[in-house]
Amino acid sequence: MTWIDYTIIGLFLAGLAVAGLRISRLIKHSDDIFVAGRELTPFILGATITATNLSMYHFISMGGIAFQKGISIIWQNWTGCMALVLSGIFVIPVMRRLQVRSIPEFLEMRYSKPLRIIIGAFWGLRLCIFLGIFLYIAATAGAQITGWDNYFGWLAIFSVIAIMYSAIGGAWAVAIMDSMQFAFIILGGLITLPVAIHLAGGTPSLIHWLQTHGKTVHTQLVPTGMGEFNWLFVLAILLISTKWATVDQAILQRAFGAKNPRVGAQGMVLSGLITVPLAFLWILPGLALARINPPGITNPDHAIPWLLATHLPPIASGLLGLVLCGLVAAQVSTITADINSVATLFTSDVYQALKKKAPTQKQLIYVARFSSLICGALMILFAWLLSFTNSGAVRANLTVVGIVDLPLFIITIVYGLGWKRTTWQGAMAGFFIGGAAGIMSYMFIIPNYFNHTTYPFLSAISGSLAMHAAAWHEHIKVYKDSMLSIAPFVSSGAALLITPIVSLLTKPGKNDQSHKIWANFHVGDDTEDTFHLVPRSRAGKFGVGLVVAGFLSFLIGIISAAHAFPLATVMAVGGMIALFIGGVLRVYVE
Amino acid sequence: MQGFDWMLWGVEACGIVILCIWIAVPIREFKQIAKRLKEKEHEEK
Repeated sequence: MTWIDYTIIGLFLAGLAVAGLRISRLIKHSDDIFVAGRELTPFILGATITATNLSMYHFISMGGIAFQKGISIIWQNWTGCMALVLSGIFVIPVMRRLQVRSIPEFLEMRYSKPLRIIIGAFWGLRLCIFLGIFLYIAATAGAQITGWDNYFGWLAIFSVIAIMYSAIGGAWAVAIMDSMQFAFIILGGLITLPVAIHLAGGTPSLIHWLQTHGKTVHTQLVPTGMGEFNWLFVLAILLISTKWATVDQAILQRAFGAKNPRVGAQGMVLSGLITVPLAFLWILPGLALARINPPGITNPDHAIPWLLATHLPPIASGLLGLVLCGLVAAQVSTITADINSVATLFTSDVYQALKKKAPTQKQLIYVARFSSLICGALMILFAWLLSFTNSGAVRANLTVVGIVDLPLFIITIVYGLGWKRTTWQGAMAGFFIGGAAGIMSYMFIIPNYFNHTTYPFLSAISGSLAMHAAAWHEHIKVYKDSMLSIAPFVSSGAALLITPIVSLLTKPGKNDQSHKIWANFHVGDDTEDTFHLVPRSRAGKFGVGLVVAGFLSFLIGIISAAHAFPLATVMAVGGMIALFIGGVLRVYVE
Repeated sequence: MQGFDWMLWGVEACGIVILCIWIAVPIREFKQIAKRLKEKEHEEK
């Protein structure tokens, strides 16, 4: 890196700080910190959801997996985009009408206050792990690109920037800065892609080379055989993405900032739509690296930083600095958005819920800023733990998500909105037993999954589990490469089973607020709110029909790939396109 | 057209279009929000 690159990044960061301070003047009310005063319009919402979602995880880690395993990792983005459309049309309008700030707040309305506090605290902690993964990527990339190989130094730099920026501005800062950072993110991708593809000899030549050099799987959108990122992975990631788009605090909080339910739905659909072509910006450079073959790289998170550090500076001075602005922007916007979410969870769902007397606005803002700092400390701790692994951030993230996230989706969306008889005891049991089943599935199938030095307790249980169930273990250990795809089905399956059983064994609580949820399936008195869950117009009905048909075609395509059906990929991609067209019709034409 | 990298330049074109829209539209919308917030503040006073 040259002094020009450092100057560009320095100016960019200074610009971020000045903008953050100016935006902090807008904060008058705690709603400004949490949901941007509920004033966001569709484009800003679309940009802020996309920028919150995009991070170095995509450019560095998913690009790295594309380098190692091929293009099929793109489904992590594409299924996410589809889930945004589905959530925008069917879930967000109901949630937005309830005027909640977080999922735990919804859980109190639906079930009980203790459930809100327990899951709020647990979820805040879970988000800190997620943030640790993001910080790990940033520090790894920083060390690799600049040559300053000080992992803890990079952890400190990224943490300080993100915490300061998040604590100053809250959701308003996140929303406005996200829109600006979004431009830098895209710019960085637009510069890197042609460089990588040029080095690989152009896309047609790259695809031909991969197919003739034993890397055909790299070019398959839906790989048919056994493997880590095959058709089963696409199904699992669809489940995970649906969870992400419906209960992820960072995404929902952006959507709750919408002016009204229709705007919330429009923002979600727009965000999904624009990310589909953009996904190639980070997947194709990774694919190109499979041909360029960077020397001695085993950790997938090192591949893209190697490409940037080695091949950008010779083209033009300052180019690397410009691309890094995009990457830093992507990372900062994601980390700040998530720190903001943790602050919301701890303030609104734990502190406020525990206090008997209603706290003042000043107290709430103080607690929100204090919890941002605590979250920063926990995020550094988890990033440090991650430095012991060599399998990359994508696998680490999918492991955590597969184990603990899906039970929350089951109790919130599936049973929370879908079955009135569910009790808070059933929801609590489903959440914790589902998570435990996810962890057990890893322990049972891969006894040495948990490092015995870092996690001695988990490692000991894991070894004895497999030993006690020797015959069973022998029978299913062949599936260990597909664990990332199996665990989400185990954890959500357990939650799906346990929640109704415990609910039927316990008495329904006298929750005075749950009737509000059912009432919000219909349009209320708000004159700005014209979004009916079941559309009234013919165009709206056609849109929903197309969404459902597209989704079914996608599912059939992916499942048929298991049997090597030749049109599987066409059906899956065609279904996805139909779903997007239907989504746009639904939110804009009615 | 043989030899033209449709995939690469198609993605680049999409990215540039999205970039242009996302610079122009939010600037206009933020201005409107700022105006509305000022009006709200004025009314409260």
